[in-house]
Amino acid sequence: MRAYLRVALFGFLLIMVSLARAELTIEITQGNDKAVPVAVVPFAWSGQGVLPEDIAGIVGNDLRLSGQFAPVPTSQFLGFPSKASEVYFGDWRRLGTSYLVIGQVTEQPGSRYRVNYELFDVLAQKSVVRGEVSGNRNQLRSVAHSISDAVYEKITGVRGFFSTRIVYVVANRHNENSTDYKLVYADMDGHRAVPVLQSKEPILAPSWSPDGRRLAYVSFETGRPAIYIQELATGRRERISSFRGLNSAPKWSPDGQKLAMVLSKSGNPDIYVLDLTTRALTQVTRHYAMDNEPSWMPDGKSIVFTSNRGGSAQLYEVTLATGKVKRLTFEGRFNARARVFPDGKSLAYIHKGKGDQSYNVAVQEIDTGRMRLLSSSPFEDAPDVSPNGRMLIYSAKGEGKGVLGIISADGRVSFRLPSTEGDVREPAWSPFLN
Amino acid sequence: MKDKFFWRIINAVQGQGSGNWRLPILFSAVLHTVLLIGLFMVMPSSSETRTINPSPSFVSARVVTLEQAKPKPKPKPAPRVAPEPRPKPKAQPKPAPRQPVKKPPPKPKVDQKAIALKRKQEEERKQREKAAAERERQRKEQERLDQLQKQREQEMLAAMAREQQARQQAAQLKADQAEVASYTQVIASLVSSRWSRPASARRGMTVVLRIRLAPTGEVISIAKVRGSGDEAFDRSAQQAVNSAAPFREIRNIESRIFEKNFREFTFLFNPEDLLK
Repeated sequence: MRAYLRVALFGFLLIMVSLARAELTIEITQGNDKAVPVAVVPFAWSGQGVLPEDIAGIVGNDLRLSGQFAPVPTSQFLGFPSKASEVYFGDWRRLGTSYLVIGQVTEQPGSRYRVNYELFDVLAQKSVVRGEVSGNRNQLRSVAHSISDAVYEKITGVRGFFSTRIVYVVANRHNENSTDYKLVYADMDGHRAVPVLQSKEPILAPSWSPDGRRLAYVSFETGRPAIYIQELATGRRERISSFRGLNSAPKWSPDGQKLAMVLSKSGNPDIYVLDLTTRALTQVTRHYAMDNEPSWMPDGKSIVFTSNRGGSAQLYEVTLATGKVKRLTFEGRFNARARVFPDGKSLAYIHKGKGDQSYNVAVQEIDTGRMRLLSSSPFEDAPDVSPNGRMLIYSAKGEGKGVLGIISADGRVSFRLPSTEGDVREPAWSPFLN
Repeated sequence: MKDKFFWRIINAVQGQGSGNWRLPILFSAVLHTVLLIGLFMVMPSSSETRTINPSPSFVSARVVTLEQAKPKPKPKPAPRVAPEPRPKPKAQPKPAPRQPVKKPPPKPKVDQKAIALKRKQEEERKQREKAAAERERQRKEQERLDQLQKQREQEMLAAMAREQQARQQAAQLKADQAEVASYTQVIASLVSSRWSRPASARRGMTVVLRIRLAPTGEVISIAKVRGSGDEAFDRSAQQAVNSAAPFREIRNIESRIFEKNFREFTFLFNPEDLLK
């Protein structure tokens, strides 16, 4: 009996020894998620004169803005390749770069520019993507942004947002009786800003149509608030709503067919939905409290809004089909101005905690209700989410006047957009435009 | 004789004897081969699906049972089975019959006496023969017992040798495992610290990479065995390995362990700290 046991044991040990020969697997369950070091080499320019834009500079800046990349300073470069054959991966690896972007710009007839670019995986020593974009002098920034998009999308697996635009309102106060208001259209990095509407009266709450061609906003140009829709390409405007009382916070439905808005024509502010084709108006909420700031869920079936029906400003969700209302926020004394992320899983809003002095941008997972504060400047307002859901734009009070801030949705990086003169507020991020 | 055996056993236990190892070695070799063949036939040739870290599974080879079996060496002196019965039966019959043989010849007349004597002699002879046969039988029995004893001792020796070998292997295995585990941890943390997951990364995405290393820790090749379907995610994993390499630490590892574990191995990237 004992002998058997011994033999069995021996065999077992042998098996164990043999099994130890089975292949080793190392499991990696956590990452560091540091910004990926990338080198963007100044693009070679073979034409005459100086290029009107520094394309590599714009690309590098875009990538830095995303928070997911750390561009290597040009001063550290050991070479300036512009063709694949000139790339020595060892050099770039020594600099600690993971990716390398090179390119050339050539002049085309008709004062157009053709830009070729190529992205390399330095560590794997191979080309990841290459492409060609062309444009005229005024489109060179767009060309650069589209290269940023291609690089970003290749590396992060998420569509780039660098070719998107923003609109915001600037107020220039000349004296007590005179303030100029401008609705400004700009690249998402704040460049190429152009006013699309100017008024002596307040402009509020711009909202993009889902196709990116039109804006809805509130203007007081007649002395009373009214909601307008303006076509960006032509500047053609149409007054959509000018009921008695409030006409505010227009928000385009995801399918572009309807406009949610706040009207107080029946006494106190409630949420309404206007069908843009039939012009039929539907009242969505009916409550003696103030309901405000609607934002559509991506499926278009429900609307998130702010209401003080619970005693303090909190966020609620109303299902359009049933009119059923559900409270979404419970933390703190003030949660308002919600925007739903494109995936419909999170909300961005302005939060003020009990005893807090400041209003800050917060992001909340809808499922779990878990909220985290993203930034901490004293007075923040009007968050909006980039179409890829990775970035937020918001207004903040800095040195007495409003400026725009951009922050990554994970809160890791934040930037101030180049400040213009005047008080900047109410930014709205465009959908994808191409 | 017995003492020699005893020493051999002691030597074997202490692992320094130069005794008769041929049998155990042969046995072990045969078993190894059989097992290896068996393993190759049973195990899938490509181990790509083995995604679970194997380390916990062999921690259980702590050989607790063997440790219990240790006191066994003591019973070895037991073979003192044979109490040596040989000398006793021989001594009795011999001296008795010799004297009476001289008397009879001078007086032929005494017939009856002669016959009786003869009969007696005959009887004695028979008895002697019988005793001799008995002696022979006993001798043979003893020989057989001795043989058996010897065989048993040899078997025991072999078993002990095997046991010793297995114990050594187990100890070695344990030491190796600890070594492998610590280097595994070093590599994992190096790669982990370099892994910058792309925006598209979600919990539940996994990518399996097969790595070939040089003994200097340089990465010879990285092959994607099973991707996540998300190109950016897969690339980030490859970048993490490439960026953490070369794994210079590996140069300090014993080459036997390197060859067995790190020459070629698998990375499973399975982010657990991300949202779904």
